[in-house]
Amino acid sequence: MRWTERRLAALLAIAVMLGYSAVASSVRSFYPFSVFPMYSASPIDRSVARIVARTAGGDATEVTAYRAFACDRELDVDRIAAECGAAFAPQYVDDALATHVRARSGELPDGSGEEIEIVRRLWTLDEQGAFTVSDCVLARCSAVRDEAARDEAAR
Amino acid sequence: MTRVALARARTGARWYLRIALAAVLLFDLALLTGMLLGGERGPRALASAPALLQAILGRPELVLPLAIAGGVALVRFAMAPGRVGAALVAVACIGVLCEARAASVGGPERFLFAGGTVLVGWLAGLAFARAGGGDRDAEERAAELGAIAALATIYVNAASQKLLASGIGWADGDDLRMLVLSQRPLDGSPTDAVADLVVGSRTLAFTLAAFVETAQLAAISYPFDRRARAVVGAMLIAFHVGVRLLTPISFPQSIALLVIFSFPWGRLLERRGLALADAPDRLLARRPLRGALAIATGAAALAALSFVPPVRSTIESVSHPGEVARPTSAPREAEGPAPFDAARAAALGIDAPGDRIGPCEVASVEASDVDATLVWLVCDGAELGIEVAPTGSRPFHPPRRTRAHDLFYRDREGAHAPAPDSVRDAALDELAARLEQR
Repeated sequence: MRWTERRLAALLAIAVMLGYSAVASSVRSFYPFSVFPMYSASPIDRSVARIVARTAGGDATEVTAYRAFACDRELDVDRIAAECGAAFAPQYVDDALATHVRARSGELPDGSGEEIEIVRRLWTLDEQGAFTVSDCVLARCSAVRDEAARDEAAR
Repeated sequence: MTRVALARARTGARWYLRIALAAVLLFDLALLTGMLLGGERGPRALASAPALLQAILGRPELVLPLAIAGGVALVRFAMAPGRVGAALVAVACIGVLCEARAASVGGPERFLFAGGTVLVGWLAGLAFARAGGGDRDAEERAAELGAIAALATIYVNAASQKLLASGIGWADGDDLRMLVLSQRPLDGSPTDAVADLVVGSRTLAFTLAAFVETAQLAAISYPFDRRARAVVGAMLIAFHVGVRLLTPISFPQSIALLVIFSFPWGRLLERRGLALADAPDRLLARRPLRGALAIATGAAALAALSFVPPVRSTIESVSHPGEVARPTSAPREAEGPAPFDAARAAALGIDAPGDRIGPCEVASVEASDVDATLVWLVCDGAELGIEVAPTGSRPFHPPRRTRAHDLFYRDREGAHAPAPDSVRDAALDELAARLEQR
């Protein structure tokens, strides 16, 4: 067989692709090998959820838009499924938001906070492709908005 | 001095790619160093990860030597062609830091993998050239092709995983709409409107999802044709930019690598008067099959190494957190009888401690959560935990699923001898079959 430049390149590429994939399949994800399975699976039961802050006016906003919290209960992400039902929600996102609230929780001076509810908002997809939205309240809080974050959003 | 160093680095057929690749990896190294020096242990830190990986977090006396060694190795790699040892040291240092980060946050962060993947491809190309009897001066041409093939493999694997897990239905657009809902920013920024548009339009979401799947599958052509590489590279860059617009998920290193390897920068440099190496721009392997065999042998050796027990347990402890690192119940006390919740056991078809499930015996049954039960089994001296939860109640994909239950497994914290995969699979199969019959 005559090894043209094109054939040589193809042989090398195939060897690398198969070799890398074989090692990645055996380890799944161990630096620097991975099968890169991120977001490959369909959300469970066609439901998806995330933690948001619900203002007194009913608007949903980021929990991270607030910099101080005084809540009636601790935010425990491990109890969310039991209390609010199962849905797809990236664990690391819930963890990061719960950590944000816990790290900034404490007493607030009277009247300095805005009344909000930290809710788990659930979107369930129906057959027609429309979403039904429902909220499950995780904690009721007085919270102080992060002005810098608000200014940035306004810009 | 910088000019002298740059002049010295401009040796080898693909010096500009080598330097750019090293720069991406230096970025990874700096990022990881910052994360590990300043980072806190997350709520899902992997208690089962090796002690070294757990010890690194927040310890400058461990992080900095690794970062410096990795940085020096990357600079050495960038400065001259063919420095395989330096590249391997760099991969090892970044790998330890990357897995320490995984141990601290509860799982691998794959946006940090792309640079290492491409460097592995680069090294595979060098191995091909050397084993295949190629011209030493032109071996970086093979390194470039190896790196390009490795970069393509990232996307081909990602597409394959989507097809395997969700079938062609992944591209129906609804998954994408749900993904955007779960991650989109709610900060009133202009990208909010873009996210609204995608969530609100099934047709647009389908188009975007189909584009993603097409771009990732088309990556299979990326190594084989320069024009296809430029087109597919542009599509993949557009995919990453789109994801960043709709969610906070960002893969800047992947974008940089696609920019570096998708387009003919060599020609541009030549036009600008920057002389490339005098070596012929050809692969020139006299024994190409021997080159391919070298890559296959290396891959087989690494795959085999990954099954050696201590290596395997390390990989398992940081690679499959969804299956083994659910928040664990407290390790069973050494003293006193093992817990046996008769009602929960009966619901799973277990009568008493000592019942056999596949090749294992039931040691204990206890609640692991409000809605879940944890069964500890003893399998030839190894302990294996199987958690039974309502179907779909966990944001992980279970290794076994029945109509009403998801089954997960875990090893005992600190256990030295986890149950072998075949034993674990047999126990999972048996318990799933029992639950299905009930």
